[in-house]
Amino acid sequence: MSFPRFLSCLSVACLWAAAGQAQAQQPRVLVDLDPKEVGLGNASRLIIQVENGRDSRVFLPQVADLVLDYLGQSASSQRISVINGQMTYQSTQQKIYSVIPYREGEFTIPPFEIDVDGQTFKTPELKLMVRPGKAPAPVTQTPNPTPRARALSPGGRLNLPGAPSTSQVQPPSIPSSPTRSRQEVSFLEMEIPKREVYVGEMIPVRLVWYVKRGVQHPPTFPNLPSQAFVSNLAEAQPTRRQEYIGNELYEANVWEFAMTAVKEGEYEVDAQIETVLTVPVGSASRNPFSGFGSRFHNRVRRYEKTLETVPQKVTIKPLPEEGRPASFDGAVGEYNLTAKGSPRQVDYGEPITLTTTVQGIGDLSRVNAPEMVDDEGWRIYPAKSEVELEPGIGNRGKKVFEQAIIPRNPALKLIPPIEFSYFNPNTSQYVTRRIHGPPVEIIGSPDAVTQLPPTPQPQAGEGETELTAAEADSPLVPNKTALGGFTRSFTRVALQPWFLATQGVPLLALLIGGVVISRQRRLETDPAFARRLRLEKEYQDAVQKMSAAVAASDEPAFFSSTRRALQHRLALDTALEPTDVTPEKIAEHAPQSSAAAAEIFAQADATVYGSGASTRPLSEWHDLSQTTLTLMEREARQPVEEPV
Amino acid sequence: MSTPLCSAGVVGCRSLKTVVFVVALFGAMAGPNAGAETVAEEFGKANAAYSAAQYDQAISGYERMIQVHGYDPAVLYNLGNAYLQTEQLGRAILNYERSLMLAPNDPDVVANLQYARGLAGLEVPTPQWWQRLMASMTPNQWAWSASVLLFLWAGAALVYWFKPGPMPVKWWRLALAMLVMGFFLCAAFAGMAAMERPYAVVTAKDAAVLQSPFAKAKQVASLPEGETIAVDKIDKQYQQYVRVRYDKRSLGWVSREQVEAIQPDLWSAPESPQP
Repeated sequence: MSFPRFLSCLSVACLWAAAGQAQAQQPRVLVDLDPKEVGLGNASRLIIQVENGRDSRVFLPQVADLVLDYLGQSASSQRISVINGQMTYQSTQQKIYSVIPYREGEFTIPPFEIDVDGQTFKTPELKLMVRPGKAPAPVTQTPNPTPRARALSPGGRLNLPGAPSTSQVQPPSIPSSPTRSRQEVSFLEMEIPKREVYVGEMIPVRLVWYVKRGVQHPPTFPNLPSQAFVSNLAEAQPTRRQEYIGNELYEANVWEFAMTAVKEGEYEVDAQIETVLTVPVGSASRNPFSGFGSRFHNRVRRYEKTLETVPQKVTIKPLPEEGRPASFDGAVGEYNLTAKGSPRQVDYGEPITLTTTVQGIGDLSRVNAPEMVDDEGWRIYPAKSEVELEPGIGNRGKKVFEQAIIPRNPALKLIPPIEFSYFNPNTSQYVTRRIHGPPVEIIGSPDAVTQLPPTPQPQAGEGETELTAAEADSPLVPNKTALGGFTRSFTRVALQPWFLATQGVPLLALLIGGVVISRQRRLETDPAFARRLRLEKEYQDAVQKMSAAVAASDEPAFFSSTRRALQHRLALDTALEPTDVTPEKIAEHAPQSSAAAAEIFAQADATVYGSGASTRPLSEWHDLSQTTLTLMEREARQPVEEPV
Repeated sequence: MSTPLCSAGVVGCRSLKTVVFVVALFGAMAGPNAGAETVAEEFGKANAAYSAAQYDQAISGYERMIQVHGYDPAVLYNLGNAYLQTEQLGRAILNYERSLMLAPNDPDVVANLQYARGLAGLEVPTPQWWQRLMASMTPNQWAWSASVLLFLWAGAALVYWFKPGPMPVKWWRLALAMLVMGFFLCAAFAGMAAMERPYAVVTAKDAAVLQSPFAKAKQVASLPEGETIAVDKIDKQYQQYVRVRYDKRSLGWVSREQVEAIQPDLWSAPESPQP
């Protein structure tokens, strides 16, 4: 043990010793109900505060339709003070109980005893008023309920003051699964309402993933790896609420979904969830009322966990053979049937759209189209269907079938009766619903129709169908007789590099066009830019002509071009127009080049006006001109030094 | 074939090649008409076999056409019908799906596919409005439409910029906006179709989904014949197993003998085991 730690232990020991010597104040007990009026379905709290007592025991009374449940200790403080040389000891502790009513009206908690350090205190009578509200199912309280039993039973669900309303006491609608230890940081539970189901029956399931408060986890989805059931768990959206289990607050993620039995036999059903839990170290032992100490939050531990529910045995029974109607096609549940046909008046050979709706509870995805009882005189095409589910777990809604039917006898007045059979798992009986077909009026006769009616969908492919007798009676749409177009590959062109590169062509064209148009617009709107471009062009032209004149030994042309080049060079760098540039102007703006420029100008004048021949070879003049132009350009770039 | 002949002598080989070239040239010139007749005849024969309820013969006829000439939506559709008549629901659904890839707006194929799925006891999915719109053209048609609209838009924009003559600016702007909207719509559908996870169809009677790609691995689910499943990743193959996504989220391995990709050229030859 280090020395500072030894010192701190020593000081604590001294304090306790002093407390023992200190004169203890008289014990005092305060009892209160908070709140004193609640709605049915909510809980109140019984707070017992013991002051200046070291050891206390509470003897709670039994009250009919009222459950008192110990939640834990809340604020606790101890203080030793020295006043006028006399040491006194004071302490306070609170014990909190949940008070959950199971009926409306006024409750009276009779006086009960509290034993504090050997002294017995008797509390006053307490009154609790319960307003009407959502009633939880009555329960019988067991002497020592396990934490989970309390948590799942109506009496165990506690609404904390300030907690979300979703954690209100709710009667459980379906029985719970076998339970496990509540000491876990996170666990998964599944509630299946029936242990014996029929093949094709859809049952509601509730899956709850509990995560202790303060434990962090990423959003994760559970999995239901069962060969005997198919479920819509993947589509279910979890709801979240807070729930007390024992003295611990848990976040409960609830998936409510439906699953359909598909294989007969006895199976164990369980669900899994793979997650990563980030657990604050020491959080498990914290008091729920005091919350987690911030000093613990700096230390966390990560666990990769696969949580599984306790497997539950479910027996899937086969559908009975006895009493099975001929029109039964596998639908299990409870359904109603309606039908309508449109239009009511058709030309002979034209299709009528028959819409049948099966509505009810069950796995609608497994409901097939109702059949006509007698389809003599009708040509029937396969039905298209659409499922519309009501909000909820996906076991309630309607399935609408639309199919084209074509009358082959002009004398028909009614669409034949439509029949639909299903197995009701609640009564274990088959039910057949039969409705009369809607009336129909057929205009025209077979003589007016020279060809077989086409496929009902007018835009059908090639539109050429050839029916054999066998095909005409088949529900299949017949074979095609015209070829489409052969292709060697199903490769998607959008992913091909050459295709993507091709799309660069218009973009590049746009880019170039954009540059050109912006230049053009600048020329139109910026006179300085336009002037500069014009002078640049004329300057380059003059320089090229200089070189050409040297090559052709054309002295007049050379000097004329050189003068123009010098004039344009200076005009480019100043606001002067080329025609205004003289040797004097050059001397003013480009003093270093002025001598050479003046010489060139003089020789140019001499050559043009024929007053004298050149004293140097043309190539030398060319070199001098180039040097002068370069020097002028350099001078233009350098700032003019102001004389100091 | 040509190697032993050529090894007899260079001159002989050259003359033989010339003859082969000339024959091939004439063949190619006469080819289109002669080939079209052959294809139509083959198709007619296979259809006749189907009508005579000789479905196996029809199947082999359609399969041969696919091997020789490639994929045609009508041939695939008829092949699906023939498989359905022989109660090979998985293969029927596979060929309908393939036919739909090439002719997505064909209601005959949609109707028979729904019928086949119903027979197989599978859910008949109801597409959303945008899925129906997307299915009105093939992915490649969407891609080409996007490309054409892009070219048109670029051309129209250039014309608008340079204005070679007097033009109705308001209408031109409207046309540009329509073109760009059309382009984005087509490009979005083309992109979505191209990025979509490839699908496969269960062709075996009851395909076992394994936890890992080994014959002795734990079976985690079984898939009914005709079920359409998403192939997780094309590169996720191991020997004769492919990783598939079933039940929307769950992953597992299925033997390639029990499933077939809708896109026929999706899978390469089986990988050899890695050390």
